[in-house]
Amino acid sequence: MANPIQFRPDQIADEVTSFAKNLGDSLATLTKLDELRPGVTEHEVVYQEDKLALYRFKSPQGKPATISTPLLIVYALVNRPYMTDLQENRSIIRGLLEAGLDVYLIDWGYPDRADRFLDLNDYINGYIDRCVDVIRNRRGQSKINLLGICQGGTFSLCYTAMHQEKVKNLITMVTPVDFKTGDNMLSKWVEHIDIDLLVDTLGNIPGEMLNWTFLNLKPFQLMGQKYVDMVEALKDENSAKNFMQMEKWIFDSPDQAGEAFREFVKEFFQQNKLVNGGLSIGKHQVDLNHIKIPVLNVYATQDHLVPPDASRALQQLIGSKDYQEVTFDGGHIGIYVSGKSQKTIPPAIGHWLADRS
Amino acid sequence: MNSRSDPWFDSWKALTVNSPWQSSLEDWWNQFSQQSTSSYLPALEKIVDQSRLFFQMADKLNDQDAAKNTGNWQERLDQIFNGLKRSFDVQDETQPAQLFWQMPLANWQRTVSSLSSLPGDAFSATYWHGELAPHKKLDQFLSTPGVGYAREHQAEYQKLSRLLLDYQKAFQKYATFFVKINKQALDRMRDRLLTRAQGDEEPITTVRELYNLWIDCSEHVYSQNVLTDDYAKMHGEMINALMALKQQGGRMMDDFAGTLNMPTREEMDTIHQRFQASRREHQAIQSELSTTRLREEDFAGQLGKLWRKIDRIDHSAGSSANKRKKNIVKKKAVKKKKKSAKKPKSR
Repeated sequence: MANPIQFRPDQIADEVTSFAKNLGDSLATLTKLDELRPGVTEHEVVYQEDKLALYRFKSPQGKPATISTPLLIVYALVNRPYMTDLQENRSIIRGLLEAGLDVYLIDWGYPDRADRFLDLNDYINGYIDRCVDVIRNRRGQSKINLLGICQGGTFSLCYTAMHQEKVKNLITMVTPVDFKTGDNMLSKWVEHIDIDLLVDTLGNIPGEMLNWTFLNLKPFQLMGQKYVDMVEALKDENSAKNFMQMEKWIFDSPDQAGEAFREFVKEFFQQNKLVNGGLSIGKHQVDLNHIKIPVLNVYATQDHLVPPDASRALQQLIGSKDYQEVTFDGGHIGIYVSGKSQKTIPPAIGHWLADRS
Repeated sequence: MNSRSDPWFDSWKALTVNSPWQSSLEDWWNQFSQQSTSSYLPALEKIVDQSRLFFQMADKLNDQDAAKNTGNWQERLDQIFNGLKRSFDVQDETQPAQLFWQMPLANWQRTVSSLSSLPGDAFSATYWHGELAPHKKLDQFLSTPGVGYAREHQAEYQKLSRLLLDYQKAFQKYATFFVKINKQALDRMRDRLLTRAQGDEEPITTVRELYNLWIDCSEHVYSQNVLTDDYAKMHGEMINALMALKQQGGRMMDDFAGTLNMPTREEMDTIHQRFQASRREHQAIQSELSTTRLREEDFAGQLGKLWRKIDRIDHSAGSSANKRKKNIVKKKAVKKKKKSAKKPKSR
């Protein structure tokens, strides 16, 4: 057997000198960058309420939408929705506009302590429902298409189960449905947390706490290796800009309104009520079996945050006979920003909706 | 564009010509970070932190016998890994191995700092390995009932101290868990190296390869451990203990604010809760109003239709009456004509 580690001092010296040079270059590149501007596609605010803003995006080429039913994107309360529109060449929004869609998006804003008592009923039967009505009235249409992302997908499922008469087609993207799959770390970690004590103590849940949780999914990679990798990658301004955009998004975590967080963690994560039943929001019972409209479920095969099985469970729970899946060979973040996803996901959504318009 | 001049970076590169790299980086970064105003400083700091670790690894490897490829390497490998394992039993945050494997823990400490006035590393100097004897004694002491005029006040402080100890115990359990998984990661790394030696794989010749192997092994062992019931329970206990402590601190702070006639968190929460309840009622009324308005519009529409229908009926009823009237007049005229025709002409 040969020694599996064979270092030569001169080689190490060369490697480290080269690393040091790259480190110097990359730090110099980073300090030369302009301030970042999240969200690149032109849009107008068509409705505002509290901290919420409803955007309508303008097609970059000024082309009118070919699919007349408008599409509303419901993003998660966690992190910021500009992830869907990060840069010109990394924008799901742009891809959807190019696929002929009329795109709207809810920006939830940054809740503060005055929003602490907003609950899931306020978010789903309040904010989302009023945004849906605004779009229906603007366009004079009785139904819209709904695209829910991550936690926003879970909200969209609940909304559709309660207000199906207003939704024509539903698309869920990296959406957790079964919160108790064996590989779901987040679900495992909240099993023994006293959520009532947590919310009663903190009021709103600080974004820092969520960052800590998400980084702990892969701590050595996300807090260590990523930055060593960047020393090699930050040689030019474009890669530096990409890196910093992503870095900004990762740590741009709004606080979570306490009551909504309490309900979401207890009823979805701890009690898995979408699967086990018994979920009610406001005066409505939520039963996914009530969903009879066409559903497209998009998930990522290497998603460490929402494991594929957590999304795939949807098929068994809804009452719709028109159900399709689109898989993306990548992770939870890659599905928004990778070059591969830009070429595949928005066109797939566009075709699916066109067939049902 | 930021017009930062390059001399800083040139000076860093110049420093790195002569090792040790890590200490060069420390000196350079200390000067740079104090004078830089870049908004990217936090990101730069993370990159520099990890680079520092990378250089520490390189410095260490460069000095070690491991750099030599002769002799009984298996024995040396065992020595290195056993040495690393032992280093986890002694709290020394200057050790590169500890810096690396404490990433999840350090991250928690930063989070605690942002959640409370308690510094995240408050207990870093108070690790006890083995029995928690000092806690038992303190527990007994803190259970002594208070007496006299300040009895309630004393009881609140005793409760706070007990909760602080509870959190310390929970945190120590959490830290000890990481020591355990760090040792498992080292075992895995050693096994991977031996497997590599037994197979036909190329030996590791760069610091980066070794660093990546380190990451892979740590991540693997970590993911196996944190999906267990034991971890979930311990993780929950630590967060619950911190929240109980913070809640008690908040309650005492509220009491204090109340004595100064200042608004308290409890009062603010009551106001916000009532305000939110009022908004819900307001929205429900608005929604009902809008439904009523729609229903009214619907009624108005239906009523309009009815009126139009009545008008049409009236109209058609009116025209029939006229027709009948005309017919009667016509009939009368004919009758009159006939009558006058029958009458004999007078001479």
